[in-house]
Amino acid sequence: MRNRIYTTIFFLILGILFLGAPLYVGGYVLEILIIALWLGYLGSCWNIIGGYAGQISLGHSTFVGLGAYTSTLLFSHLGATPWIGMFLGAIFAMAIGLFVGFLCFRFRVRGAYFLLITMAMAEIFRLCFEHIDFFGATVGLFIPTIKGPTAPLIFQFQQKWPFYLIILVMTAAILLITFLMERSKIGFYLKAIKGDEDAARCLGVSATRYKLLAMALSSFFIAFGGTFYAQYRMYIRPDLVMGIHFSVEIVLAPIIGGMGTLFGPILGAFLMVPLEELSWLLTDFLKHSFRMKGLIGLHLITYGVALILVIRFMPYGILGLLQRLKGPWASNEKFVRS
Amino acid sequence: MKNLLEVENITKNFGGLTALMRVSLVVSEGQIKSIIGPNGAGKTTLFNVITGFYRPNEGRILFQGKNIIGLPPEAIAFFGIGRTFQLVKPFLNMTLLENVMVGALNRTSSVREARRRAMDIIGFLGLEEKAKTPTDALTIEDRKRLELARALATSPSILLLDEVMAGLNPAEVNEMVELIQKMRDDGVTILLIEHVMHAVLALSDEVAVLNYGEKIYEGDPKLVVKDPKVIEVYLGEEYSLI
Repeated sequence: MRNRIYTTIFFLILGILFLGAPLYVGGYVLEILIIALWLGYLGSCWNIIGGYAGQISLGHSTFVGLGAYTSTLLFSHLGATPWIGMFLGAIFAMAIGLFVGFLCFRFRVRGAYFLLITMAMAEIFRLCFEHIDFFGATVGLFIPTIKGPTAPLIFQFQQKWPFYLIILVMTAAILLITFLMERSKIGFYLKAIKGDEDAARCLGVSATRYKLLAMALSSFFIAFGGTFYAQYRMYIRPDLVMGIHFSVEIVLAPIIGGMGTLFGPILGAFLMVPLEELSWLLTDFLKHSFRMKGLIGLHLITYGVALILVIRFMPYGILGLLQRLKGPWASNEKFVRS
Repeated sequence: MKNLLEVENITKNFGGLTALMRVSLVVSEGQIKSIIGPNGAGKTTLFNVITGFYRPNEGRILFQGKNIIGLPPEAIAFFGIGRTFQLVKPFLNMTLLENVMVGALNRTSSVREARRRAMDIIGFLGLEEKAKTPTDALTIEDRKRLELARALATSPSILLLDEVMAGLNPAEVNEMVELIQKMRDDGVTILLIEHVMHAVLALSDEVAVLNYGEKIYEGDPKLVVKDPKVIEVYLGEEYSLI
């Protein structure tokens, strides 16, 4: 009981701190917060199928891209507001997700093979979008800017703080959904499928149906992240919102923070994004102080090193490790390593 | 007694290999029936056919009078056939309690109710103290019990147990025998594959013997140890002396 009160107080304070952030941080920090929340949101959506159900997908960039392109094209060609476009994008992304998911799950494509198929999907979509003029090809699409009091109606804001609040609400929403899912029959069944699909089926778990459900939820919600990005940057390009590279970026936060944990993806994103910023600062510093060139990829090296360290020493991610250290079995070394 | 599970003329080929050759078997309600036989005789294959993992080339399987061939494993589990695996398959990402809850959710959508039922079963199997333990910290005996608990939580009419005693020491085997008897007393029909002969003899109402995919004996467990063919292919000479 007391524990519950402390938890509530903790989350209240955290919530107030986050809500009030635009009042006391500058534009630079706000930018970092937005990107971190955005990656955390994407990671949390991916976490439903990848973390809880254990179906590692490297195709989720496709759904982000479809969300971004659907709302953008609807806006620039038909004038439809992205507030509605984002739902159409999400439905479209879910349809593609269910299609690929059905093919994979129906024919029992598992593990590395599922990963390869989704990876191929990500590349197919990126390449198609890069070569079709209607989608802006490699040049990308600019979103026509409209200023004035009606701008918020078409998801356009001149300042950063509205975007910050929107992504904050989106993140809170996906966390709530994940929280409810985790405690329902769905959550138990998804974890069982991750644990052992055959055993789960013998206990009455309709594996195909539940994996499809996880895929639908995951691809639907992650597409909102695409529209958000498009409206925030006012510009999209296939290699920014699609392809393997971006897929990997989505997956990194949950892996580092802890796959299949509620807060893992958010925690991962809040570690990764500042780390990337630091690498950029270091790159700049080395370039100016020592005239060192060719250090452009330093942030990727940082990512790589972080990933290797996490997978080697904390295969369950940071939160996974903490959860395992909490119990009476903490002394069992096996949990910490293998 | 009513026939609960009827296996009729099941044939299963894997390419050129015939794993099951017109095997028929009847399990009546409330019975404990054992399947014995040498390795590779097709015992586990038969379980996989019954639970819907393999589709047989020929034959019918009637459960409560209905043909269940062609149904997926999850539907068969829902109808009331539970099973355990020879190589235990715990959900390592969950605690023992959560593992059993997955089974209990077969009959309810309420997580709270599933938790209550799971706790009952965990108590029945004497695992209360380990309920919150992550499964990868369990010993092999506890993992075997977990398999049993999970299958039992689905509220099956019949439970197929695949070598639940393998790897247990004699004391643990005796405990397991008692558990299985208790389960039968609670109204669960049991079909088990087992190599531990004294457990088979202590438990079974009937025994079937498989050899190279064919049933060579079915009937009284007291007589099976005297059957010359069974002694020749499986038991060996010393059992004929019992």
